[in-house]
Amino acid sequence: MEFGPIIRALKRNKVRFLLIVVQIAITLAVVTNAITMIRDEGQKMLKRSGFDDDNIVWVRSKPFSPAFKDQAYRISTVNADLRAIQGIPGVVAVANTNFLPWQGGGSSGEMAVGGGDGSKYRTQTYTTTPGILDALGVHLVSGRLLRDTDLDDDPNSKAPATVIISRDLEKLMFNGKSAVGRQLLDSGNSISNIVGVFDPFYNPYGWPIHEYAVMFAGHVSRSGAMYLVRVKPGTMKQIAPLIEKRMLQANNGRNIQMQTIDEIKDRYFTQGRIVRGAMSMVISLIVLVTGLGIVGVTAFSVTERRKQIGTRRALGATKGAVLRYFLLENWIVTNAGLILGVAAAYGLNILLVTKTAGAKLDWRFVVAAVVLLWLQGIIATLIPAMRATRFSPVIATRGE
Amino acid sequence: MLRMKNIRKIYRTELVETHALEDFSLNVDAGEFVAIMGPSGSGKTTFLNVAGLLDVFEGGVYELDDKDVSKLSDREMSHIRNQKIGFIFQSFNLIPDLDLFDNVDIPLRYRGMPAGERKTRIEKAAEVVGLSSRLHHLPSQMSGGQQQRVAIARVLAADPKLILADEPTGNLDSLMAREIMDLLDEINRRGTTIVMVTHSPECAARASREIHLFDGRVIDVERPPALFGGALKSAK
Repeated sequence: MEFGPIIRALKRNKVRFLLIVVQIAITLAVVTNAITMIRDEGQKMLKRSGFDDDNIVWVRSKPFSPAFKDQAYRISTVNADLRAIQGIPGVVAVANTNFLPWQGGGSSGEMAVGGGDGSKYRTQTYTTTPGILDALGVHLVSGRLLRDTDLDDDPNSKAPATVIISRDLEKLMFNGKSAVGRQLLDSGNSISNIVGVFDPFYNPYGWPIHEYAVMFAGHVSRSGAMYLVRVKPGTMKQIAPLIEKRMLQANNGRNIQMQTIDEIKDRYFTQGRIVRGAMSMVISLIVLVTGLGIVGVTAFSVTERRKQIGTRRALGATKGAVLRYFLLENWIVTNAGLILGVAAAYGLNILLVTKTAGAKLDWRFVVAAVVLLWLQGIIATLIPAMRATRFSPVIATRGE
Repeated sequence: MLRMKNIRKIYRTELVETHALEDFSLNVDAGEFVAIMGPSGSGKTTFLNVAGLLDVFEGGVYELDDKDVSKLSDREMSHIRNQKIGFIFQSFNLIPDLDLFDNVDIPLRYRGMPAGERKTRIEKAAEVVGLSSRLHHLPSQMSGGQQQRVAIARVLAADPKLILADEPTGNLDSLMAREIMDLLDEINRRGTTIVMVTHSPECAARASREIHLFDGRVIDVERPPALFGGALKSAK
C-alpha cells in the first residue's frame, strides 16, 4: 500500500483536496442533523394527544352586537350556548374554554407549590367551564371534576381560584404525592386550590411543557366565546351545522366559526411536512453535489496526471495498481472529511439543541451517514479511476 | 538479451495506415550499449515502445532475456517492465508531488520489496548519482541534470537487466549531457545492457554499437537508401 507517498503528495496539493474534505465534513454535519430533524418532526406527527381528536369540533362565537360589551351579557350568552349545544342529540360534552389543541402553543405561566420550597415550574394554563374533561375525552384520575360553583369570573376576586391539573404536572411538582387539596402560587402570588388531576394530556408547545397543564375554572368570553364540543363517533357531519344553527337561534348578534380538531391538527403539521420535505431536498442535493464534487476532482486529477499514470505504468504498475492508487487517495481524503464531519455534526447539533430546541443527534444516524458517504466516495471515484486504468503506458514516452 | 524478428507495428486511423515498424529485426546481446539513431519518423520511439513492452505489435517475434514476450497479457507485461526493464525518458518523467526518495521508490513498491531493502537501495542509488544530500527534495527544487540523475537513480535502484533510454540528454546542456553519459557508461561497465535512442552523434559515439533506422527498418549505413544518397553515411 502506498499510504506514505499518497499522504505526502496530498500535503503538497492541500487546497484542492482540502475543499473536498470540507465539503464531505459539511455534508455529514448537515445530513445527520437534517435526518434528525426529519425524524423529530415524524415523531411529533405520530404523537397522540390522548384527546378524542376525531370527534371534537372547535366553535368560536365572534360577536358584533354592542350588547356583548357587557360581561354579564356575555356570560349569560355563554351559559345559554352551553345549554343549547348540550341539548343537541349526539353531543357528548361541551366546554367554554380558551384551550385549543394542536396549535403548537397556547398560554403558559410559572407556578410554585403553595407552602413548598419556592421552585417555579412552567406549565400551560387555560380557563374552562366544567365539561372540559368530557369534551376532550380524558379522564379524572384523582379528586373531583370542576363544578359550576367553582367558576369565578371576577377579575378583582381575592378568593383562591379552583383548578385541575394534568397528572404529569402533578408528578413534576409534587414528587409522586397527591396534588389534590394542595395549592399553587402563580407569579403574582395568587393562590389556586387543586381539586382534581386528569390524564392524559399532550399539547405541543414552544417550550418542553407539552404534558403540563393547569385548567382554571371560569368562563372565556372577553374577545368572543370559544367552545370545544365532543360528539358521538361518526356524527360530526350532521351535528356541526346544527351547532351553528342552535347558537344563532340563541343569539344572532354574532358570527360562528367552526373547525374540527382534525383540520386544526392538519394545519399544525403542515409546517412539519414542509420541514421534512425541505430537509429531504437538502439531503438529496448536498449528497449529490458532494458526489459530483468528488467525481469532478478525481476526473480532473486523472486528466492532469495522465503523464504520471503513463510513467507509473511504464515502471511496472498494473491496471489494478492504478485503480488502487486513486481509490486509496480518495479513501484518505474521504476519511479525513468524515472525521472532521463527525465533529462538525455534533458541534452543529449542540448549536441546534441550545438555540432552537432541536432534537439531540442520534449516533446511529452518524454511523449511517458515515457509511453512506464512505460508499459514495468509492463509487464517485470509481468512474474516473477506471478511466485512468485505460491509459496506455505509451503516454510515458510522448511529449508533454 | 533482446531479439526481435520481423516485427511489424502499424498505426491506423480511419483514413491512413502508417507502418511504423516493417519487418523490423534486431539483436542486442547482454552487456551491450547500443545507440539507435535515425531521422524523425524513422520509428525510433515506436521501437522503444515495443522493446519496452509499452505498446503491442502486430506481427513478428520478440524475445527478451530468452523469453518470448510477443503475446503477453497487460498484467504480465507490467510485471516484466517492473522486473527487467528500466526507462530513462527525455523529459525525466518524475512525479512532481513526490521527493527524490519516493520517486526512486515507485518501481520498488510495485515489486513488493520490503521497506528496509527499498531504503537501502534508494540511498545507495542516490549516492551513485551524487544526490545523497537531496533525498527529500522535490523535482521542482532540482536542475534538469539533477532530475535526470534522479531518473537514473530510479533505474539503478530497480537494477534491471535492460535499460531503455529515450533521448536521455535531449533536454540538457552539453555539460550536464556529458555527466549523464558518464553515468550511463558506468552503469554499462557494470554489465547492464543499454539501448539508447538519440539524435546526438556525440552521445551515440559513447555506445559500443550504432543502429540506424529509416522508414521503420534497420538500415546499413554503408549502403543507405537511394532517396537520401549518402547523407546517413556522412552523418556517421
